Amino acid sequence: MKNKSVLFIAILSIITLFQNCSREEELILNEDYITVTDLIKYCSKSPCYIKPVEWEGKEVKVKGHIDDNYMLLKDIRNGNNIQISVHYLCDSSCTDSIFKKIILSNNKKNMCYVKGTLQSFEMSNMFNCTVCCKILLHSANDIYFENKY
Amino acid sequence: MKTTKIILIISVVICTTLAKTEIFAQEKSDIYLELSKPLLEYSLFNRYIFDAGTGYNAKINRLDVGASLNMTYSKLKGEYNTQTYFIKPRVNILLPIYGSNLTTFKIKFGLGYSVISINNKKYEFSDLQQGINAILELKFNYITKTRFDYYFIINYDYTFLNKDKDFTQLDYYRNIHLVSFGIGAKLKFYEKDEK
Repeated sequence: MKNKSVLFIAILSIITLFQNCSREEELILNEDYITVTDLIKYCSKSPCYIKPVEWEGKEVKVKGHIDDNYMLLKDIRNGNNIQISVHYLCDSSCTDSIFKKIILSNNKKNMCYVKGTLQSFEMSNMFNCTVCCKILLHSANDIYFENKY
Repeated sequence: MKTTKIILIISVVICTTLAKTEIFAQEKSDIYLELSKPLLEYSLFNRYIFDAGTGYNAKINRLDVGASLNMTYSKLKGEYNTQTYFIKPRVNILLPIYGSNLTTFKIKFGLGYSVISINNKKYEFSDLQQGINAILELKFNYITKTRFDYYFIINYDYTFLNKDKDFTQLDYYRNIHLVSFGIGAKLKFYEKDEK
């Protein structure tokens, strides 16, 4: 009887722990620099086929490691990545300066901090549909590299 | 050559006699070594490769109480090559729920603290995270006549990481859930050994 109580308390405490720890909270997009994985999760919560999504055009600050071959911002902890591109309001000199800053940067091993606006797109296959996002850059000042580790 | 044979025969006889008498002796404690493979995972990380652990249990009444140290290893393949180590020291309680001469079936509850080390040499990236860890495990033990027993385990391993805005701002990714299946071996100690 005593053993059964111990077991019951043990299982109950695991369930309580799990319930207390798994509460969701809202992500603030433009305060601290968020990770790529956090942003992907945040964007994918929006339902498909409903436009515009609530975060469309909002300012976001994201950090990750840059892949200049494909213009991707990567989370090297798990391989997630997000596309970065230039905003349509950016003229040719602005576009050039952004690409130069990324390509000519010799410290790509460092963490890349990006500020931009969010644009949504849908990715679907036969079974499901997911809302994804990409980051649009406005100027070369929206990017910087820093090693904090 | 003759002497070697005699020594070998005598040692076999002694071992067999000891092993036989041990069946009737009361098991007091054990040291174990186990290896498991995560089957399901819900976490920020991906592709857990294996979990290895060792521990000690002492019998107190019908319960086994002990401590263990487990390590889970994960490696992200491809260009990233990020390695993640989970170090999980725990305090455990085991409760027998079924037993016969050949097999026992036990349920284990463990509580501890997890330290997670993330490294990527290519990007000169390293990070250290910590959090509480709990485990619920079913252990199917096969009893042998020797000092070693073998067992199968299936467990649910839960880690809740401390808050760190640089790591994640979502509570969702502070939770790490793992369901693993594995095997283990334990070395038994009897009351006689300790006298």
